[in-house]
Amino acid sequence: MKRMLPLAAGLAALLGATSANAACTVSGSGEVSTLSNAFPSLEVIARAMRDCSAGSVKVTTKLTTENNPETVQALKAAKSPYGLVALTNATITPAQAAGQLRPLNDFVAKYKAKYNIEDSMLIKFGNDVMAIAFQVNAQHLFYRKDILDAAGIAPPTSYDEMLAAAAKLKSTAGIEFAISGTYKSGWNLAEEFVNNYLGMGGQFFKDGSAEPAFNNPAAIKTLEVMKRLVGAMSPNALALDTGASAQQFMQGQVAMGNMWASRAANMDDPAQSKMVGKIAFAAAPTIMPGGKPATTLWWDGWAIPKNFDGDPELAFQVMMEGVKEDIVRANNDVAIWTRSIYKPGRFAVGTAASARAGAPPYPMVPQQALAHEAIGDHIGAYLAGQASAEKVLADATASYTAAAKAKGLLK
Amino acid sequence: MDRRSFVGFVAPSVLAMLLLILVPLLGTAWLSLHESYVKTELAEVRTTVPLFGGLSREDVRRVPQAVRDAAGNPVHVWNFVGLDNFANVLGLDRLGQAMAATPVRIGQLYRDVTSIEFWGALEFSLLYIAATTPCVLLLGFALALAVDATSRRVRGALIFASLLPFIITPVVGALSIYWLFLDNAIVNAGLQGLGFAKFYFLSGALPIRSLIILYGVWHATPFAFVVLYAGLQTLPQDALEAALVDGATRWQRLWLVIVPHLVPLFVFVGLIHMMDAYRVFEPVLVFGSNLYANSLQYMTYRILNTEDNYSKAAAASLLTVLGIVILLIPILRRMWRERQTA
Amino acid sequence: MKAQVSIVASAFRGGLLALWVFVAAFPFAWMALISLRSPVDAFAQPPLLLAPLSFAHFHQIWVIDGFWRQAFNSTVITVGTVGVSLSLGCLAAYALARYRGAAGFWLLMVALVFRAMPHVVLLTAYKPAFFQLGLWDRYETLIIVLVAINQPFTIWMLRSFFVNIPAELDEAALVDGCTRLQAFWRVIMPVMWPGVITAGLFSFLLAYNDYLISSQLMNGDHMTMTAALSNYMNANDDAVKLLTGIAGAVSVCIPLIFLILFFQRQIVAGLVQGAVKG
Repeated sequence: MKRMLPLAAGLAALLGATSANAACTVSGSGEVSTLSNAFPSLEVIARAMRDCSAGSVKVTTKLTTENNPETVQALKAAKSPYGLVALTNATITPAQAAGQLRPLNDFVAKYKAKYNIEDSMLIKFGNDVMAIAFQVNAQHLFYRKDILDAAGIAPPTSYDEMLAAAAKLKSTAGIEFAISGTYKSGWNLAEEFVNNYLGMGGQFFKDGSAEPAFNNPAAIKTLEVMKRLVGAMSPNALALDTGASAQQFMQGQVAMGNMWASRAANMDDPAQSKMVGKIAFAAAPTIMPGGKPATTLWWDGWAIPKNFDGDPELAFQVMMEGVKEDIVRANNDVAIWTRSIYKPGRFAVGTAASARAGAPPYPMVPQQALAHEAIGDHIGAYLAGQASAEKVLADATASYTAAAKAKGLLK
Repeated sequence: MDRRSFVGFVAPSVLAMLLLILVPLLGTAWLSLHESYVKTELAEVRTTVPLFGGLSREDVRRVPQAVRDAAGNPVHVWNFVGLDNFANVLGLDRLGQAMAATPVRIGQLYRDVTSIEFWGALEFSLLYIAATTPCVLLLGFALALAVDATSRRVRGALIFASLLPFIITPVVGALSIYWLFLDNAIVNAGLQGLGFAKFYFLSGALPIRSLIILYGVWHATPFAFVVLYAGLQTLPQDALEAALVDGATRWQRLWLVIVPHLVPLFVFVGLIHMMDAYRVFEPVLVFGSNLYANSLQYMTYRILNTEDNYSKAAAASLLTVLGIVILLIPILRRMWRERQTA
Repeated sequence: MKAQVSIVASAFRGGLLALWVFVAAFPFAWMALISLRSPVDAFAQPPLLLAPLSFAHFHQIWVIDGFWRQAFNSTVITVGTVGVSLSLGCLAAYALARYRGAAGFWLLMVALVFRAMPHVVLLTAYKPAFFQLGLWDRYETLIIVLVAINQPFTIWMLRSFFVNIPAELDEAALVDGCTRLQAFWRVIMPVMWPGVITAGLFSFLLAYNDYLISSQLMNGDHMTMTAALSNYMNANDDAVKLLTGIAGAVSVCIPLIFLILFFQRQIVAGLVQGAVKG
């Protein structure tokens, strides 16, 4: 059987790297199931966690991109079947607000030395450690260095520059739609709106409350810029998911766009990409002059459900086995790890530059997820030319209000 | 068969359906009349999150936090809310606004109403039924006639290929079609190779809806084909021969003998297909991104999973069931009449 | 003149059939083809006609990811569902075919409504209940749920087969001193096998192809093949994983293709039975 060599080598590297974790040293007994999203760093972590299965300890992992709804249900149930759940900025807040997570302070104190748990990994609400973050992620500029250099265009630092560059590439290089974006109607589109609206200096709620405040001139201006961007993307843009958008980069169909940092390494994988070494990274563009990069910083981490039907201490040890230094060291370029031994390479440039220029974290308030959902359901109609910006923002506000009332966050 | 042994024979099956279909349905009805959430109050919270390279950022703001009882457990609220969840699903307030707008313009009113999720989902579910049913019947019939007229040796292979779209896991089938229609994927490459301009199949409501309908026709045609093909095997030969003797043309035979014989089968296939089309889910999940197309079952799934609102999902479910009953009433009445006359 | 018409007609017929066979089979053929390619070739824009082939993705999903566990789960679930469905369904369908009272009619009507009901309606109620009771992620639970969902269709289909068996057969047995159950088991069932096989095939298809319920009620190691595909298909984060999923999807299709090859006659018979007796 003839193998595809680069692919097989990549897989072997991935496997080889983690089978070094045979030395899992957890004490206790019982079963720990984990639930998480499915991206490359989580695969690595899940494999390390499964290596802890031995004797009376059994670890099973479930990785699915549909993990959020299941996490929410598990946390709500009488007993959670999962001992560890992977959470993010957006998903931890509703769980924390509802008191569904177990504070980890005691375990952090006990295992701090053994696993070198660093302060920058702790997600704290007040004094309670609620999760251990293992990586950060953000959307930032991906661009084709070869094309931009050839056309004499500097990497765009604002959307205005990006649109001008797209126009120039269209007339001189014959690239009809030079921009790509994760604009699929729904969650992704809403994420773009959050990035851009915060970059425009907007805020989602009235100060210190859950009252919606995202129907205003800044939001309309944000939508208008997004519509101009959509005009420079493939007409299919509102139906292309992140994977299809990444394919556009890897197949050399587009020249610029905001893409997730977690996909940067794939651009240089010859098994997946025709553009190895040709794509460079930079801070996310700004949406208004003098503004901050229009992106939000995310973290990914692990938490223990309060209603876990098992030994939380064992779960905590399994968690730390998955994100211990050996794993980070062996898989340095798979993610932007939170541990200080991580060596930022070329794939971390965009996130670092965005963070340094003051990009905000994704808002950590429980009602944000509801606003995100409502916005994703409605603003697509404006970008597709089916309704006015005022109407879609009013509709999104109404949907948010209904959802927040149903969750008891608004009276 | 007497009543006692009837009851004995059907008991296990009825019990299973009672426990696992009817009871859940009643549970759904109960859920739909309530709301439940964890009681929260605004409190000042300081959060610390990692940014980059060992940096963290602190943030202090007032956010909703769980109200706790004496034992420290979050307080759950469970309220009877009457029909609020139904009003919520139906979007009654926005519906009212749309109706109250003056002057009344039918086009605008229609757009406003279908921009409400439920009505938009209902619109496309019905459109999907209306568009796929005739196509499925016609194409299935044409294929049945064509296969019936070919030699026996190739029929097996034809039937085999025809059954593929019907039998294979729908979500896989839908995905396999989606990939063909991406920006520079095979369909576009083929069209360009034939000299056509590049076409963006996912660029708007019309092409996406057409694709979903195309998928529906592709998926359901084999069913119509097989049933009608089987029906052709039972054609009354004497009637056909009599028509031939009378000098009837091909068309006359088709219209006067074959079609009338198959009418009950057309009705049957049409009904089954309508039932299945009403719960269209997979292609909407794969193509839809509910901006351009939504369906009742997809909407309920979204409310249940993404919006995480059991009560509202329950209300949406019951409205869907109500729709099915309305759709089935003509059939049930017909069957009842047939039973009365028999 | 007449000959010309029939040449045109048969050319038209041939064209229609060729086009249909192409349209019906092409998406699968293409999927099978790209499952053998490396990601950069599989999603090449513009698409490639020829590219190096390998079984790396199949090796990944079956050997490294242990898809055989999911295959085992699918086997348990489908065998369980088919067995229980048919046992309950045969008893009920036989009674429905022989009983003349109004209760039978109403039962069939209610079953018809249940048959038409979107599955997500049930999921709305199952999920909170099973999570509260801690009953999820178990073979029994999923089998029972699939049996219940499948029951209305099973009894409708089996009933139409039983109706075709002359009532004189069981009456003769009753006269000979058999009980109803004995008559059913010794006299009717032996001539019912074609119908049972057909109904069994449809139960199999439902259990095997179910995505919505299985993916929600089962977890990790207990997932069925179809449900486990979601772990790959949605993971569009990298094309390698997606292609592993496509290899999985092709693997899932292979038993179905064999099924069609071997049981084509029964599947057709089942569709026709449903049709003729409605």
